[in-house]
Amino acid sequence: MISTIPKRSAPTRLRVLLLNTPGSRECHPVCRIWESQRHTIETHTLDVLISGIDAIQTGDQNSTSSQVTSQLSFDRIEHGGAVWNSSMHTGAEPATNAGRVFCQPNGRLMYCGVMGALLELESDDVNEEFFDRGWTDGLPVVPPTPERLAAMLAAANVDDPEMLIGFLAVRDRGVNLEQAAVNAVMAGCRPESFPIVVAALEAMFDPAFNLNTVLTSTGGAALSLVVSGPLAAEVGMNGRHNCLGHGNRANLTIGRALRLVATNALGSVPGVSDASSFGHPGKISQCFAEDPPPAPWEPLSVRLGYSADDTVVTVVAAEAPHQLAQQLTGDPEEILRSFAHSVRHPTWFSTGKGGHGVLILGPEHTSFCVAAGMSQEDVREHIFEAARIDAAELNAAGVGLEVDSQHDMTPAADGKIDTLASPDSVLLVTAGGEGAGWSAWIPGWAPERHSHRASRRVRPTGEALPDCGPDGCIVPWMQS
Amino acid sequence: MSLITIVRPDADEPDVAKVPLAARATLPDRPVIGLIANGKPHASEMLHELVAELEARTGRSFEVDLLQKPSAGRSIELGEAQRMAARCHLVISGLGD
Repeated sequence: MISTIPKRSAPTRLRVLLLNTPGSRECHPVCRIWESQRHTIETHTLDVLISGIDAIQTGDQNSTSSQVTSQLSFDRIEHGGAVWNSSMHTGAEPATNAGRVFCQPNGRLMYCGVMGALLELESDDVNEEFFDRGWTDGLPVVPPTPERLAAMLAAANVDDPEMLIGFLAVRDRGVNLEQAAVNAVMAGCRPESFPIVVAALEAMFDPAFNLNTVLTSTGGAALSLVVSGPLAAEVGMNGRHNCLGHGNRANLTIGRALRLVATNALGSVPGVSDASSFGHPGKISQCFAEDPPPAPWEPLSVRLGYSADDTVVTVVAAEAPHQLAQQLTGDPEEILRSFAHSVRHPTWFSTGKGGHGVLILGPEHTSFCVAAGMSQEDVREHIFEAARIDAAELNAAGVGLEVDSQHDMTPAADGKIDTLASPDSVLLVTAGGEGAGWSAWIPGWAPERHSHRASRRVRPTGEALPDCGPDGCIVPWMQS
Repeated sequence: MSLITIVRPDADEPDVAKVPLAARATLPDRPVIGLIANGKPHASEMLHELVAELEARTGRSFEVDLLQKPSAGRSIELGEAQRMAARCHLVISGLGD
């Protein structure tokens, strides 16, 4: 049986959600309907009711669920289902923000109710229904129940789930915290990973990232994510063996959440608004943690201008990773020269056009560079210079030079063209596990002028928002 | 089997307001046609071919106002759009791959 509840665009009828939460007292031991200047609750505009708990507070009164039910004049109450009762027509638009339910599981007021549109499904039908509606990435998802959504939002200390993370004017679509959390649940994220998802989404909406084009292009870009900082290990991310592969829940589900948000909240649909000619597996999830480098090298977060205590996410519109083998030399110049040869491969779209990418140095190659006294800047300079390509080399490979186009492929005096826009276009990260000597290159999906990587600091759970006053302010973690 | 309640992950379709057609003004002898080349190779050549075809079919001669975008992935600036709207009688604004 499938019954659909209309979406929130026409909220002229009361929506009552009754959570069947036996045994979940540690999650929702006490709930209250929050009354404040910002959130005015009136009985006729209540959208959400959490039931199956010991008590619900309304204002200063403690009441049982049934008493609350009586006070609010509901004519039907059930556990474990959503009710859409035609007799509850209000005849008026509910006030904005009315109808929230907040709970205090740890003495701290937090949102635990649900405003999104609901659907009631047979439990065994959920994934088939989601596949049919185009709500997945082609893999089964975790059903986004209200309880799971509440836990996700609570982990990020969300008190306003409708707060926008970002908005794409060209699509007339945005993403708010609740939508992000719903899709993070579907991706299989643990709640403690959700602050990283939020920061990644904030980075995606950086205008320099050019999200609309990244999601639309025939080139097929992954929303590739690098996480640098202590939170990566705390949530169980992997920056060591197989960090770009399978086997780590945090890596895969954080990256997957971004794609599901793009699909469901931003309408990025393959063959419709996502014109990727091929795409690649990294479009499902491409996310890894930095393995902090040996001294004197500094972690990426510090090199981006943040504190070593901060966790910073960097999103890159990217192709699939390519493993780089160098197992017969310990000479860092030979190692980097061979890597640069791969970076300037003639058939990469960005070669000779000012591209960018992520260079992941494995432990052996990192140690050779450090032992030779090379700095991270030295490595980037070396890759930039050695990746410049002769026009003749392009021509010999059958690749012509663009003329009168968006890409200036005019050779310099030495006959070479820049493959990378600048040394800074190499996002140098240390990761991977020990072995025979492997590193990896993740090419940017397109030259840097079309999309620049973007970074955001992860706001730890519980960190207070700054008081910006009526005129707003610059938020420290928004630095790019 | 049992029923479960889930929260929909999708968003409302955007409200696409109908854009009224521009007024059909009487064209001067030599109208200005705006071309927005998306920056991809041969985009300008193809657009000029289109103008030649239009001239052949209408028997008119057009003055061309060509705008070359610096990136196919980015929209033109508002000021550029306003300038073209003020000067051109017709603009070809879309070009695919």
